[in-house]
Amino acid sequence: MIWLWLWRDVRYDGVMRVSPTKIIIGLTGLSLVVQVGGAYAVVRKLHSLPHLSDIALAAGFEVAAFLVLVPLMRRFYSLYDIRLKRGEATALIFASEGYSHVLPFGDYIAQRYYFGRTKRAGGPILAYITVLYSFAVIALIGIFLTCQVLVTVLYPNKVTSSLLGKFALFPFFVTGLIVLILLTRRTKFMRRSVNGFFRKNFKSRPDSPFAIIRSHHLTPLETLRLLSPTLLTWLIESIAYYLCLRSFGVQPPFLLCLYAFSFVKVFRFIPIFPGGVGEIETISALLLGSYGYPAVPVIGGAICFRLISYWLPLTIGAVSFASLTKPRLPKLWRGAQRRTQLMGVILFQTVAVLAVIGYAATNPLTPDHGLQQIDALTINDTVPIISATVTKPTLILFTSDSDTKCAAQLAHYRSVYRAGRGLHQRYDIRVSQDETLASEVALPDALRGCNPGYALFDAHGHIRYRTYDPQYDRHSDEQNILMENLEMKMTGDHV
Amino acid sequence: MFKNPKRLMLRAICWTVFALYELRLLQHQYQIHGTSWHFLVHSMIGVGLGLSAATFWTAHKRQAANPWVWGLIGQLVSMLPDFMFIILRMPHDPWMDVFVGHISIHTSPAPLIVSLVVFSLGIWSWYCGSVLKRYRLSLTLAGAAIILLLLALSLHRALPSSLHDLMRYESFTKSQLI
Repeated sequence: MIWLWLWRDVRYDGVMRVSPTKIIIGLTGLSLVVQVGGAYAVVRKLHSLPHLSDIALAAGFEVAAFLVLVPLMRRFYSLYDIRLKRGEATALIFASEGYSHVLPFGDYIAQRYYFGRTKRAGGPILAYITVLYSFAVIALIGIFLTCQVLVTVLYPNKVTSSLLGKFALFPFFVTGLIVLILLTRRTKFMRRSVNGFFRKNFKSRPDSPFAIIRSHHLTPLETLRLLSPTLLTWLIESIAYYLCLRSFGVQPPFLLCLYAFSFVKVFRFIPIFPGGVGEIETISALLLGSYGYPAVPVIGGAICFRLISYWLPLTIGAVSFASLTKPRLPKLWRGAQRRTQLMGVILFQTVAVLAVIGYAATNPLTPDHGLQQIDALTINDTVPIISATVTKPTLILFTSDSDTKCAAQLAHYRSVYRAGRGLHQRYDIRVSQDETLASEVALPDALRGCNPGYALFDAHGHIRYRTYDPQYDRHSDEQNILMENLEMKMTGDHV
Repeated sequence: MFKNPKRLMLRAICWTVFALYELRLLQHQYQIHGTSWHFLVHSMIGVGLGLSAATFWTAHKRQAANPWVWGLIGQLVSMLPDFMFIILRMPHDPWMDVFVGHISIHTSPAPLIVSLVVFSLGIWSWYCGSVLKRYRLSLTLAGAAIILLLLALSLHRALPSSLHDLMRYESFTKSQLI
C-alpha cells in the first residue's frame, strides 16, 4: 500500500519525478509497519510479558541521552556569540535530533529554520553539526574498540561453539575494515580518487572527523568539554539498550551489552536497508546469539529499543519544534498545569492500552479467563464415580499421563501440594490421569499438556469448584479458603 | 492553585510514581496467583468508574476533583471482593455484584475491551470536566462509561451451577479471544 501510494505520481517522461517528502514519509511508514509487525510476531512467541518498568526507565534514559547534548550546543554556539537559553536549546536539540531521524540533514533544516525565524546568523549551524558528528563518530569508535578489547580479554569462553558463535568474529572483520580504510586513505592514489569523487559528485572536499575538529582550532579543554557530552550520550543510550533487553528477560553483562550496542551503531553507518530497518534487530540477535543468548527475547528487546530510540525523540521533537515555531499553543497544551495533566492522562491511557495489548498477545488461547479463578462455589453437581469414595473435602489433581508415569511421580505431586503453605493435612488429595473422570468434571484440557487442572469435592462427593493451576501449587491459598468454606457449610448443615 | 510550575511538576511526578508503584504492587499480588486478567479488568473498571463519579461531582460542585483519590477509591471498591477473599477468607458470591459488577463482568461479552473503554471514557471525562471545564462533554463521556458497563453487565451469562452448564459455557468462551 505504502509503495503504491509512493510510486503513484512517478512519471516516465524522461525524468522520474517523485516527491522527496513522500519518499521520507513512505520509508518512515514502512519502518513503522516492519517494527510493529516484528514486535507483534516476537511478543506472541514470548512466554511472559516484558517488564514495563524497565521499558519506562529505558525511555527516561533515552531522553537523558539527548539532554546531555544541551550544554554542548550552548557552549558551541557561544563560541560564535550566539546565546541560546537553556529551554530554547533543549527544545532545539529534540527538534533537530527528532527530525534527523526521518530526514537527511533534518537537524540542519530544523536549526536553520529556527535561526532564520529568530533572526540569528545561520553560518555556525553547519560547523556545529559537522563538529558534533565528528565527536560522536570518534567517541563511538573509541567505545567500540575499547569494548572489543575488554570483551575479548574478559569473556574469551563465553562464545558458543555452534555455527552462530562464528558471528562473534564479525566485529573483528569490521575493525579490520576500519583500520584498512584509515591506512589506504593515506596513500596518494586513494586520496586522489576519493577527492575526485567528492569534487565531482558533491562539489566539496572530504574531511576526516579529526581534520574537521582540527580546523576549528579548539583548545584541549574545549575539545574535552565537547567530547565528554557525546561520550556520555552513547553511554546513556547504551543503558537504555541494556534496559530494553533486560525487560525481555535477557541479562548480559553490561560490558557485552555496550559492545553490542556500539557495534550496532557503527554498523548503522553502512546504509544497507532504507532507514536502517532491521539492522539493530539482526545485529543484536546475531552478536548476542553468538554469546549464547536466546534470539527471540533479544529481537524483542532490540525492537523495543528501536521503538524508543526512534519514535520517542521523533514525537518529542515534533512537539518541541511546534512549541518553538507556533506563537500560540492549542488550548489543550496551554499553561503548565494543563500541560502536566494532559501528559498524565496520555501516560495512563498508554499504559492501559499497552497492558491490554500485551495481555491479549501473550495469552490468546488460555481457557476461559473469565470463569477461571472466580473462586466461587456456584457448582453443585454429583459425579457418580467419586461420590462413593469421598468422605471429606477432597482435591483431585488432573495431570497429563506423560508427566506422571510412575508412582514416585504421583508421590512427588502430593508432596508439592502438601509442602509449605500447600493444602491442609485434614483434606484429602488425589492425583488422577483418568480421561473419563477428567471429561466428567470438565477438565479434559488438563490431560492434554495444558495447565494442571484440579477439582474440589465436598464430603458428599459433590463437585463444587474446578479450575487450572498456572504452576503446581500456585493456588494453594485459594484451595484452602474454598475447602474451609466447604467444611464450614457442611458443619452448619449437620448442626 | 499551584502557580509555581516546578512545584506543580514535582507534585505530579510524586503522584505518578505513587500510582505506578501501587499498580505494580497490586499487579504483582494478582500475578503470583496467576490472575493478571482479573487485575486488568477490575482495576480498569474501578478507576474508570471512580473518575466518572468524579466528573459528576465536578459538574455538580463546579470544582476540580482530585483524580488520584477518586481513581483509587474506585479501584479499591472494584477489587474489594478479592481483598475479602484473601483477608476475610470469603469465597466469591453473586451478591458481590454490588461492587461495580465484580462477578458478572467475568461472564459478560469481551470484558477486557469493555474495561479498557470504560477506563478511557472515565479518564477523558475527568480531563474534560476538571481541567478543560467542558462539563457537558465530560458528563456525556462519564455517562457513556456507565451505560457501557451496565450494557455489558446486562448481557452477562449466568454462572454455571452444574457440569453441563460449565461445558456449554466453555465451548462458548473458547470461540472468543478476550
